[in-house]
Amino acid sequence: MKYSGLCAVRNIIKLTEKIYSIQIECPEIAQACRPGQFIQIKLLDYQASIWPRPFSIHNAADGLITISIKKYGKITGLMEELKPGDQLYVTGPLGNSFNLPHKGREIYFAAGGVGLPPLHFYCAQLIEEGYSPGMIHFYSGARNRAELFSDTEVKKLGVDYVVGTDDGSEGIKGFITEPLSLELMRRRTGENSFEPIIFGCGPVLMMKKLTELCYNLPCYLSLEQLMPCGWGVCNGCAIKIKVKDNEQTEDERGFRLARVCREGPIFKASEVIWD
Amino acid sequence: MGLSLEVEIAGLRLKNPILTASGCFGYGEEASDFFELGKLGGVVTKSITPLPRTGHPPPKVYETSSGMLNAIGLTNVGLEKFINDKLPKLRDCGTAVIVNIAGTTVDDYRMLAERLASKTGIDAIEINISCPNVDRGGLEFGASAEGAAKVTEAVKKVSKVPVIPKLSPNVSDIVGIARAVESAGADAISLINTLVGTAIDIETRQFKLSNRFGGLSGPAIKPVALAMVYKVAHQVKVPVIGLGGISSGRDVIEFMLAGATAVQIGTACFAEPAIFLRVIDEISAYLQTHGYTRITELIGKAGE
Repeated sequence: MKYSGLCAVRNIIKLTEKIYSIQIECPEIAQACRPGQFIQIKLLDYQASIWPRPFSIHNAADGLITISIKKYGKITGLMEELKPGDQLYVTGPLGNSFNLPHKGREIYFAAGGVGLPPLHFYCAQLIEEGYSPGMIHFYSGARNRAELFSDTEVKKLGVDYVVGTDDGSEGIKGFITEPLSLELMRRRTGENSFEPIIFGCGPVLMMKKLTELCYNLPCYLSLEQLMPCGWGVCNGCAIKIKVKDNEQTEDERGFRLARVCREGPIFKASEVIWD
Repeated sequence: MGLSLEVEIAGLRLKNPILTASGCFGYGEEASDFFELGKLGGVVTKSITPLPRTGHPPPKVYETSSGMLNAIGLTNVGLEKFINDKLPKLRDCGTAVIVNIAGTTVDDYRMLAERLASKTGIDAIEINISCPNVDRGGLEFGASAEGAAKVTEAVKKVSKVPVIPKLSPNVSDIVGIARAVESAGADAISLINTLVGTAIDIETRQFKLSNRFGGLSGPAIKPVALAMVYKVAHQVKVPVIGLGGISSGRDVIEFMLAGATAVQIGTACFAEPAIFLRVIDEISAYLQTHGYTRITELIGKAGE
């Protein structure tokens, strides 16, 4: 069973000028969720918006789920004003999750802005389950310092950690895909047995770049879409997915549709058709 | 004193008047992650077409003030897969199963109804003659009294279960269309489907939906739906199933006072998958507070 009902806010934690985390009391979801999954949240006293909003789970422990949010529009602004004890309507856990890769394979995470939470959650789980931190490379980028997650939490995991900002206000200047691209190229030309897996989550432009630079590597992306329901019934969040050469579709348009909320949010990068 | 929420639609007894709206509940599989489907008055399936349909490319939905636009384009698994994969699970859920059908020709509708007539576990057929989002069929039939009657008659001829046309609000005389489908043999009438609408991005000057136009649903359309339900319910003898913007027990009571015998909830279940159970509790509480024992006592009592 999945949970759908009222949950209380435990705490709001301001992380940077633009980013904050919300801890929500929900033992049902905290216990059942896996890294990569998300929840839908509906604000009770904001009737103008009838859709809930999807948020990746950043952490789940001790009956609490944590989500992390960038202040962006009306709803994320209202959510920052929540107080401990306030009630939210929460549904989850929703969507698929990251699969545990074969031990021994090197893992590259590419996080863009608030794309970090699901990757951080997964990274933490891998290490908890015995994955060697030395085999994990975590690239985290954002537009500027205000939108970049504080590095202490990921760093604590002991992984190889690279940060950057578009404007150079912290870490390497430029898109985080650039140092990642150089690193992948260097390793691939130098080592025959280099077989990494890449997991990415971030803005569309970054995901497109990742798809290009990982064209012959296994790369999985966690996507975001507007989701009227989030649990598979409205079809509103469907995206175009490539069909296989011998796969038949009823209308021969060369693509099929997949619901980001149900078949996703994690897709193989090479399958996604970016419009 | 026990409360009775039971209602009857053309001989079909529903344990309560709360149904799911077509296109907002798939085939019931997803919702069983959240609650027991047996608690519902009934499930109305997504529209079934003769062949599977992918639907329109994205973007397919857009949120508006207290509502939303959708242009999904009748995405569905098609008749065969519905019969083989979806129906067997659904009919074991302990709730009434109302299968919604859509086609592009009268023959499509007849064929769908005929094939479904040979299957057990279907309690009624709802005819979608009001989808505003497909090029051919659908609304083409629903927009005129003649077209609506023609489809209804064809389905009625081959169906073994009650036939329920679902009417479009995008017409000038919905009462005339309701009367026409009643004369053609409709056992009940559902209304309303979505209102045609659109939205434009002023920066890119592009439409917000790939299909340009979509169907408006949600609380924004409730007053329109309520007025149409009231008008139709007082001009036809067959039961009316009301829908359009329902999101609470209070809304259900309003529709029943306006003349609806049962209601459907669609858009509101997106944000709250188990809304049906909350609404059932709320209508029970209303009956108790107001001294009613049977929900049928409310039907059509507005303005009396």
